[in-house]
Amino acid sequence: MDIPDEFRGIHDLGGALEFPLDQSEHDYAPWEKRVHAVRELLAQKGLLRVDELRRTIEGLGEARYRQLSYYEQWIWAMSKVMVERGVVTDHELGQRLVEVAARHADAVVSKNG
Amino acid sequence: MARFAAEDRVRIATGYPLGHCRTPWYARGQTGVIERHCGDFPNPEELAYGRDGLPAVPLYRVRLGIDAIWPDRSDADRPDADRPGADTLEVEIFEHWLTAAEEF
Amino acid sequence: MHDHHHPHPDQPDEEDGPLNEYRLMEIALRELLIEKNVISQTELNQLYLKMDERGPQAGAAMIAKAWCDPHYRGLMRRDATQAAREIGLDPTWLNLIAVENTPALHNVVVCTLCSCYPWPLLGLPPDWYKSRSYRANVVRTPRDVLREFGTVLPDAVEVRVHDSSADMRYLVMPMRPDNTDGWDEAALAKLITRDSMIGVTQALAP
Repeated sequence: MDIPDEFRGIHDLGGALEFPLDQSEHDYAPWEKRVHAVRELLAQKGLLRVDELRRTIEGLGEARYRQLSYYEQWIWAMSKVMVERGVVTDHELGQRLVEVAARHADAVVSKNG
Repeated sequence: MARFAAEDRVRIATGYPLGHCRTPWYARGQTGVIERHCGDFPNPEELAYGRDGLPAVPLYRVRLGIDAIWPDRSDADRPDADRPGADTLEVEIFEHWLTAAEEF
Repeated sequence: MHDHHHPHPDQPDEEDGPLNEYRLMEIALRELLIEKNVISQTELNQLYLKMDERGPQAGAAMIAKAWCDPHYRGLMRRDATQAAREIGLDPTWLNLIAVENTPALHNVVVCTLCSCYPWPLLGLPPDWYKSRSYRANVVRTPRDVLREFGTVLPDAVEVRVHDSSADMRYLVMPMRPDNTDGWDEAALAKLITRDSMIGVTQALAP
């Protein structure tokens, strides 16, 4: 029996041809570099493994995996894993998000418009 | 103790784990040749869930033929697969995905 | 050359553009981590600066040295991680393999599963390296992808794709261009581009 593609990871792209070939690049925004730096620090301190982040991203679902930018995926995963690991609580993070949103109310534009 | 050495022919398992694994879909079920034993590393399938992934698992680079994986691939100028120069793909596979393949 | 690079929690950088939920999450998580002394603002600033400055210079320096020094070239082949240490890098997590282009073999690197990249040597990767199309296409139709980057190889040259699927990271050693006899390492390094060390192009001609 041929196992259907159903079980193929959304991230497991080798050979699944897509066109056109993307050749774009952009300068990294400061927030993206901050995400990368925080990720490095947490890994250096043994507070997470990159493998946990990858596993979390792989669980995003096809649509969101396509929709979220690279660093949007990583900050999502880092937040989830920090909660899983008990470094922050879900409640704290949820509450802080509300506060931060209120602080920057004028500047916020939702991801989905 | 690594089971395989450079030049050994190996088969990469089929298998469809639902969690995190680092054996690409294209590689499963393929036969190739060990290019080197890279060293022993914690198992990412365990690390992904916050476990320590120990004991460390031998990791190998396995050389595969691109034409063997995708016989119908369309490269505008692709060389004939039987001629020297046929393109190759080297991928890192953990030992628990590998078995010895019979010699041809 | 550097913009203000201090991540002030209450002052999102002007150049960042509008904030969406993920930008808010970055602020919220970072604030909590700092308040709980999990990370410090100082170490974050230091690492941010280090990453900001990182480009392909270290990788280019290694290859230029290998072109000039047969002993170092041998080390790159045998133990590229040690070769990186010898030029002053301390990549504690980096397990590096240098793959050498020859007249018979052209190497190119990808991470089909995510985006693994030797960033201590090359800086942060370009978007295209992390893109769906590169990850999907280069393992199956490498010559088509190389052609899009302007690299056309004769049939007799083998193309070898390296998929960084686990713990190893890769640096392509491009071939030394003709007409560079007697050049010093610094001059040679200028010919060695990031793209040539990923393997989608050759080194620049003089």
